Amino acid sequence: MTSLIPQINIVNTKTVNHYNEKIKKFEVGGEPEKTFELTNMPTSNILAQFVKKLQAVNPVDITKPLERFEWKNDLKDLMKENKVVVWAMIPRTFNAKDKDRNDLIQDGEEKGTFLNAIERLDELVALGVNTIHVLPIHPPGESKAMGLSGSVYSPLDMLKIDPELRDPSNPRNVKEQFKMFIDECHKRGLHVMLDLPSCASYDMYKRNPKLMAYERNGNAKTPQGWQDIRMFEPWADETKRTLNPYLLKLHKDFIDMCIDLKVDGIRADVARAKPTEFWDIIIPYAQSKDPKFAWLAETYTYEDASPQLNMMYDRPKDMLRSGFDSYYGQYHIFNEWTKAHELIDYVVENLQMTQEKDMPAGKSLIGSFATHDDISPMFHGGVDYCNLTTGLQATLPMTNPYFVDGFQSGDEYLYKYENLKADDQKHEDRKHDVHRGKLDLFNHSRKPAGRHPEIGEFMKSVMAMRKQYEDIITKGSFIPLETDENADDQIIAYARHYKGRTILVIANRDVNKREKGLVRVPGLNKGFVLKNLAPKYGENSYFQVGQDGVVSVDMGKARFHMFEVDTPNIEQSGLKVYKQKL
Amino acid sequence: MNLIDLTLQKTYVKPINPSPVKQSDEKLAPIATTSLKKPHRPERSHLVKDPFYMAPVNFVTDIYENIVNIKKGMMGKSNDHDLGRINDFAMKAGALGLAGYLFTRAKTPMAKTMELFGFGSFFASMALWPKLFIETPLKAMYGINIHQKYIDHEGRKKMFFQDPQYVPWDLYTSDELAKLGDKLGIPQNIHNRNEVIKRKAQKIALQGNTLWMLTAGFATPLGCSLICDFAGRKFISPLLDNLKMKKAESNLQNIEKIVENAFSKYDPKKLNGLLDLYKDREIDAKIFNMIVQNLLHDDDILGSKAIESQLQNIVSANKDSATVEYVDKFLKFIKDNACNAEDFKILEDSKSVIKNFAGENVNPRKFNMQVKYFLMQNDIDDLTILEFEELVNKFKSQKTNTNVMKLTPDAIYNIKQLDRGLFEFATRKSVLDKYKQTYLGDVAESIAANKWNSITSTFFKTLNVSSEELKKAKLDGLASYDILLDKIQKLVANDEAYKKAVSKIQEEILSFDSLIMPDAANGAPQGVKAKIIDGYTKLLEEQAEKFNKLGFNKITERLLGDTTEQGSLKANLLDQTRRRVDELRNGFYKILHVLDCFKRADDVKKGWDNSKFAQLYRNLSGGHANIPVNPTMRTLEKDLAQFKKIVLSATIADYTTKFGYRNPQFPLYDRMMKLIYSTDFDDATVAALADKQLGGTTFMAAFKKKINDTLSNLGNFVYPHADKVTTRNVVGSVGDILVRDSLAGPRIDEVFRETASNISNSAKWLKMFGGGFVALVGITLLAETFFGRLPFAEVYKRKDKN
Repeated sequence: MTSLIPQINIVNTKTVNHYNEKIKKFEVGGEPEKTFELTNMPTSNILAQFVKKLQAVNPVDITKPLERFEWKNDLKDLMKENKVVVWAMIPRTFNAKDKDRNDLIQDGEEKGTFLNAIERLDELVALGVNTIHVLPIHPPGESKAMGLSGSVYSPLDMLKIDPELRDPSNPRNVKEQFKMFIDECHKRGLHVMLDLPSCASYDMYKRNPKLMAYERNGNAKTPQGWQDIRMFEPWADETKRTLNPYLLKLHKDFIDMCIDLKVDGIRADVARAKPTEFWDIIIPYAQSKDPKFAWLAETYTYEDASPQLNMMYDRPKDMLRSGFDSYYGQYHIFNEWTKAHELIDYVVENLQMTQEKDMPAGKSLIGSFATHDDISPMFHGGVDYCNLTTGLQATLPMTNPYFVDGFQSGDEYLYKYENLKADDQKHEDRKHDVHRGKLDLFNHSRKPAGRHPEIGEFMKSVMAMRKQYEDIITKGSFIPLETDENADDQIIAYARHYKGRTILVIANRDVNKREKGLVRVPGLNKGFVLKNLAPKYGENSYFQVGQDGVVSVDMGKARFHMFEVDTPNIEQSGLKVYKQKL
Repeated sequence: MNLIDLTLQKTYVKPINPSPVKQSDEKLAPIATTSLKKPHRPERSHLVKDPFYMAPVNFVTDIYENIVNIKKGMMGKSNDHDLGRINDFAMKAGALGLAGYLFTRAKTPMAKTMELFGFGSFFASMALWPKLFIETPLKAMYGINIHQKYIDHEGRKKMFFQDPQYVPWDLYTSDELAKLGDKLGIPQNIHNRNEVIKRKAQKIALQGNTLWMLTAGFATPLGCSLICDFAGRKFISPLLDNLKMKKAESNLQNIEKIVENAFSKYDPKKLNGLLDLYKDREIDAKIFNMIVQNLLHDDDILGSKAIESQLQNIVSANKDSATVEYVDKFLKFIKDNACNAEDFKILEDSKSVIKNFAGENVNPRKFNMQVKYFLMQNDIDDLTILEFEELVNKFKSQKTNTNVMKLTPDAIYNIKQLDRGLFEFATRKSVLDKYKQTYLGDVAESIAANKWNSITSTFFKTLNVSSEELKKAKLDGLASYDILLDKIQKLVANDEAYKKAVSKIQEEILSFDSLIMPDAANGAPQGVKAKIIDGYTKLLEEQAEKFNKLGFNKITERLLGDTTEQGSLKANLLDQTRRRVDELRNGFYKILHVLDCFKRADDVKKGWDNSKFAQLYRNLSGGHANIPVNPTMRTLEKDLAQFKKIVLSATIADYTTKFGYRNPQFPLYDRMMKLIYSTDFDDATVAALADKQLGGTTFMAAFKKKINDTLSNLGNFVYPHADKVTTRNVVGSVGDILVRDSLAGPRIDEVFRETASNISNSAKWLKMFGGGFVALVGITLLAETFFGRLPFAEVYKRKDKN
């Protein structure tokens, strides 16, 4: 790493002050000065010693611009082909080092930064991840902030990067450090998707009235339940359907920043906060700069499952039509669906949606079984449940697997400091806000990790298995299979077929008990030996292939199984076959 | 200050004033989106625009959906919305169950009907109140349907404004929104007009729904009671009457079918079991009584005595056979006991023929019948035949060696025949009894009872009783008399009002008469009375003949009695019917009579010489001992007070005791009765009653007859051994109690008080409920005029605020 410390000769106080001003600018992520032309030597001994130290420790030549890794973005194509495996992380906690094990990163402990995040990239690659979803990186607002650090979704300035994410041992500014991180990701084949916040912090609202939404009585519009943020106003006049040019400009500037950073795509937080027309400008704008720039919408279902005051309706299809490549969908309520057919019906609904006339090809979902807005899947059924959802994500059609940092070891996201008052003077009237069971967005917290590394091991194997059967899984048809003697409807059974090859997925969605039943697999010969391609976990399961393709199953709790079977004509067997429009 | 602001104020973090940021002076123009992708509405989502007449269809489909939701809920497939809707169904089902239970407990058809109608009207009131008084006025005032429904993209029907955090405004096109804004009075030229439109519409919807919640608890029961009251009086009661009459007529027409159906279901298991058990065995009194009980068919009208007697004949007679020895004994008995043995000489002469009728296994009863027919065939006169029957009975009643009761096969056969005959009789009679009860029954909701209520109400209304007087009349018997007296006197003083009152009452009476009285002369259809009388006559005669043919003469006797029919069932039934009709009509006519009496008495004010009443009084005063020869106005006025008192409040006891007139005052009693029961009606009465359309002279004649009959039968009010009334030499007897009751008619002051009580209660509740409802409607409509007000500043947001 080249040193960023300039070769300077400080001659007088005026120059010292000038230097100090420049250091300050570095700290807030401003553009670095390209050169320093100071020829006189410092007269102060202390200052000279300081400069000497800097030169000795960090012989970085920050006069040279950062060399970027040559990278060709293809995230949009990958998303279209359902080949993306996403890992969501918060930079300030990703590789934080909690020495005293109090879950909180305090003075003396190493926070998560862009540079120390690089240490974990190989871990993600090993897990089969190829895309990182970086949660917002902007400095949070201070006023009305939640937690001690403020929510990552409460930006002070969307065009700035949080200086807390800078590694002080490296002289480069935070933006350059982010670029370094991105390059390291690219070197490993990891794409980077940056989060675009949907709202402003209170401070940002105060500073930028032209961007903000107001009630007619002059009060700022606040999304219900989120008192630390304020709504942007996408409309100049909603009746006339004219857009707010200031907000558009801000978003364009954000995209410019992303392009400069070489970010591969954007995950739009609460995409419904802006209308179709807005995205119909922004997304093409991004793609004019980078045609493979990918877009992921946080949008769930047409009938707003979680209506909020001051928040617009959720319209997934409109989001996809206006340019988003993928969206969240409803997998996060998989634990609330009580029957297996509800999952199947949902998948079918999405596949049918892709076939609609005005729907462009290649739209997909992410495997949003657990996002940062959901409680840890460990609460829904422990390790077995985590593995079950991993398996399903890996094999469902039009689904790009998605995981949140901490999932790989079963982090329950329980923090010891939960809701405790701050004990430092600076934050004396605040407390450590936390959403119990969810990844902490409001504090500098420990690196997400649990006590079940076997989840990560399973994930590794399954992602490898997915890779091996990539064609079938990403392009194949989806054939729900009939089940019998399954009164509780807990057996998930479907086949994926592509060019004569078939994989069979049978899973038990019940995390509390074993499940027996029959699965009809047309064309499967009696006595066919089913070999589970997914690693074993939990209780044993038993399968027996009988006459006419009837498979007797006796599965352990929340067990997932995948088999390759010899049924080349399964699509002609009379069962309903669904395909994604690719 | 809204909830969010209050929440914000509670935050523990004090806002830090951020350092000001130099804002760019650049002014950017809003960006048009005409060519950009617009949001789409999924095909299935749309507003529901059902017209009013679809409400019943929607009611039914909603119930169907609720049932489907229950099924889904039980299978674990429901969501919150579905489960919430089950509540609607549960409420309806529960209410229906309650109504059904109360239906089974109600005694009369009207009460039963109102239980179910009440159930329906409760839900109708619940549905109509918001529709008529909240939704419709708000739509008229503001152009917004606060109960607008929509179909979501999964085909579920939901309320548009149900969730303030999710109002699917994208179902409105921009044109529709603009129109709505015009109706809401939102100015055209304000910034972001749609926002204001939505805000105001949601505000009105919220206020409307809040008002609905506030008022529904009052409006639903008030509305329900008013609907029930109105519908009950105007529609349900007449409808039920019509239905009852139709059913009664239909049953009468189809009596054969009814009997056929009854027989198809008739299975006398108990009787047959008893007979089988004791077949060919002798029976004692206990078994005998059991058989009798089984033959009664819950209708003891025949009396168990006739059946016992007949049964005795059956079970006893068969011990003897009509053997040759029997024949000899029989003929000897006849010869020895006949009044004139010569009358029965033919039997001796034709002994060989007679003996042919006999045999070892011949039933003596059969033998007796054959002998009887033999006599009839040989032209023996009726009297002799009758004597023969008496002799046969005497012969049978003689103690024989074999006077034991036994259930021989013949006896069993005859008992079964008797049973069938009695069952048929009971079935046919029950149809007629029900018919009679429907029209004439002394029970609530019979046609006669309803007619009585109607006439008394009409009479009451003609008196124009104020609400204050009504209250007094209801509570105090003395006060009610005074009020009645006062009102009648006022009524008769006004000729027009009097004529109207008389005409109305006449109309009521005619409607009853036209239903009950016609006797099919001149091709007119038979009235109820004639149908009942003819029906009973035909029934009894036919059945008597049937019983007679089967040899059940005891039963025949009971049905028809002897040639005079005295004491027979036939005489009983016919007499009851006639007396009941008379009783009813006497009551109706009494009201007219009372009015006429007062009208006649009213002309006393014309003076001693000009008054007709005074003239009558003078005429009735001469020629009697103990009556002053020269009656004066003073005596007239004194008698007038008594006259009015008798007319209004005489009881049966008063009639019986001659209103206190003791010997030697009976002539005074006589005069009073003639004053009261004079058929020289007042001119106004005659003019009113003579209206051709209301029966004219026929009615008048009937009315006169009633008065005359009463006058004629006054003697029947006299106790035994009392003095005779000079008009007729009749000594009354206890047996005439029924006659006098029907002639006297009801006590008018009591009728007035009861009617006052009923009307007062109805008026009180109507005032309370009706008044309450009207007040509620007024408040509701008034409140609605204040809906949707937005502060000026909210509407007119400054464009350059930022």
